[in-house]
Amino acid sequence: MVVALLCLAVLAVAYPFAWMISTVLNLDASFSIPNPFKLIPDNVGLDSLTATWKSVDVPRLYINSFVVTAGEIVFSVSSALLSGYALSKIRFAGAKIVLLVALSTMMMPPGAAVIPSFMLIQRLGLLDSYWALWLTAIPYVLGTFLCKQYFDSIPDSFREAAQIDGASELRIFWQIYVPLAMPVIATLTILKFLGTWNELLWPLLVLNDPDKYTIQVGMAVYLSLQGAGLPPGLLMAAAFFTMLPVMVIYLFFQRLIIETVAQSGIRG
Amino acid sequence: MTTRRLNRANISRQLTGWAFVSPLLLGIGIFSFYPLIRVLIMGFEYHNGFEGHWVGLENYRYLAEDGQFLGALKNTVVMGLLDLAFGLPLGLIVALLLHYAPFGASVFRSAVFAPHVISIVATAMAFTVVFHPSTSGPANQLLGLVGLEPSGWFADTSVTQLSVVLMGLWHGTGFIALIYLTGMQNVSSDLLEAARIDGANLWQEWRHVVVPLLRPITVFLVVMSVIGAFKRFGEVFVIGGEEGSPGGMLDTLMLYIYRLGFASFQFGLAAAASTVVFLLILLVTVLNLRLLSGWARD
Repeated sequence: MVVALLCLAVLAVAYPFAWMISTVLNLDASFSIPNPFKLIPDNVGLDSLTATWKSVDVPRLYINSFVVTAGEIVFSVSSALLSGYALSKIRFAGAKIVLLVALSTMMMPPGAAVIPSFMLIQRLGLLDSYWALWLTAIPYVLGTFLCKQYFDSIPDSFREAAQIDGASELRIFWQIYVPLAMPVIATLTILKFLGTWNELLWPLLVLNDPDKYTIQVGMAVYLSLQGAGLPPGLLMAAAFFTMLPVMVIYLFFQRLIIETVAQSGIRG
Repeated sequence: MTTRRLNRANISRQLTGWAFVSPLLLGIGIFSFYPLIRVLIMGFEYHNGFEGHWVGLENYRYLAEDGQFLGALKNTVVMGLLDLAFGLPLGLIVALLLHYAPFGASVFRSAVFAPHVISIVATAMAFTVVFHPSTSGPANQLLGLVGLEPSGWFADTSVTQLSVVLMGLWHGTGFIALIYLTGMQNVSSDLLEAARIDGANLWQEWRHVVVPLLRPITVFLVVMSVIGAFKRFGEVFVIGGEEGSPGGMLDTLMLYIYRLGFASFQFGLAAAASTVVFLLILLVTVLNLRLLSGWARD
C-alpha cells in the first residue's frame, strides 16, 4: 500500500519529465502545436533542440552562469569561513553581538529591498558587471552560522599549539582549520550552487547586456520576447537546456544534496 | 613587561577577530541594512531613480487606491494560502509514506525531491506545455483518464492561480516532505520506546510524541512558504509576462514592484510597495515565532 502510493507520487513527478523528453523529440511539436499531443511521437528528431541551441546562445549562457556561480561560491564561502572561524575560535570582544546582528538579517525578507539595492549597484557603476552579483554574495549569514557551528566542533588545541610555534592567525586558519572544514565547505558549495544557478530576479535586474545573461535570465527573456506562443517543442527544449546541468549534478550527488538540504533546513 | 606583552597580544587578537569578520559586516551593512533603511525612507519620497523629494504618505495613499496594487496583493495572498493549504498536508503525507516505506526509501526520496533542484524558470516553461489548454494537452489527458472535462489551466482565469499552485506542488512538495522526514527520523527512538512501554499504540505514539516534536518544523515550513509566496516572481514572469496575464490573475507583489521600478521608473511607489511586503512578512514571521514559543511553554 505504502509502496503503491509512493509509486504514484513518483509517477506524478515523472509525468512532466516524460512529456518533456517526448515533446522535445516530437517533430510535430517543433514548429506547430501537435494535434493531438502524443506521449509516443510519430516523427522523431532533434529539430527542437538544434533550433533552440541556435536561436538562444546556450553555450554562452552556460559559461556565464558558471562564471557567476563559481564567483558567488568563492566570495560567499570565503566570507562565511573567515567570520565563522573568528566567531568560534578568536573570541574577540563583540563576537556575540556580531553573530546576533548577522542572524537578525535572516529575518529580513530577501527581495523587499531590490529597488535601493539596484540603485546602489547603479551608483557604484556595477550594472552589467558580475561584481554586482559576486559582491552581494559576500554577506552569507546562513553559511557563517553553519561554519561557526562546525568550527565549534573542532578543538582549540590545534590553534593553541600553532600559536606557541609562532604561526599567524591567518596561517592557522588557512593551513589547519580550512582543510579540516571540507565537509562544511561542501555543504555551503551545494547550497550556494543551487541558489545561484537558479536565481532569476537579481541577475535580471543588474544584467542588461544579453552577452552577460545567465541561463535563467537568457531563457526568461527569450520566452518573454517570443511570447508563450512558442511551439511546445521549443518551449520544452528551452526547459531542457535550463535544467540539464542541475539535473546532471543531481544525478551524481543526489545523496549529498538531499542530506545537505535536509540538515541545513532543520538547523537553519 | 609580561602584562604589556599580554596586552599587545590581546589587542592584536581583537584586531584580527574584527578583520576576519569585516567582509561579512561590510557586506551586511552595504547590501542588507543600507538598502532596507533606504527602502523604508524612499517609500515617503517621489523618486524616479535619479532624484527624489519628500512627499509624506502620498505613495501609500496612492497604493491604497490602486486597483493593480490591491489586485497583486490579493493574488499574492490567495496563492500563498493555497500553497499552505495543499503543500504542507501533501508534504506531510509523502514524508509519512517515505518514513514507513518497507524498502527503497532513499530511491523514492531522491525521485520525489528531484523537481526541487530545477529552477522555477525551467519548471514554468515545462508546465506551459504540460498544462497546454488543448483537449489533448498532457495534463488534460490525465483528466480524461479519470473522466473529467479538459481544463484551460493557465489560460482559464478561473483556474490560473490554482494551476500555478499545482505546479508549485510538483516543484516544492519534495522539499517539504524531506524536511518533515528528517524531523521524524530525528525523533529519538528512546522516547518512542518509552511511549510503547507505557502501552501507547501507534496512533497515540504519533499524537503525543511525534506531532509535538514536528511543530517547530511546521512553523519553519510555514515561514519559508510565506516568504516564498511573497517573493513569487519567476514563474509568473515566465507564464504571464510583465503584466501577470491572463487578466492580471498572475500579477504578484514582486511583479508589481518590478513593473513600477523598471518599466515606469516610479521608484518611490515601488519602495512603498516593498515596505508593505516587508511588514507583511515580518508580521507573519513574528506571529509564527510567538505561536512556537507559546507551544514550547505548554
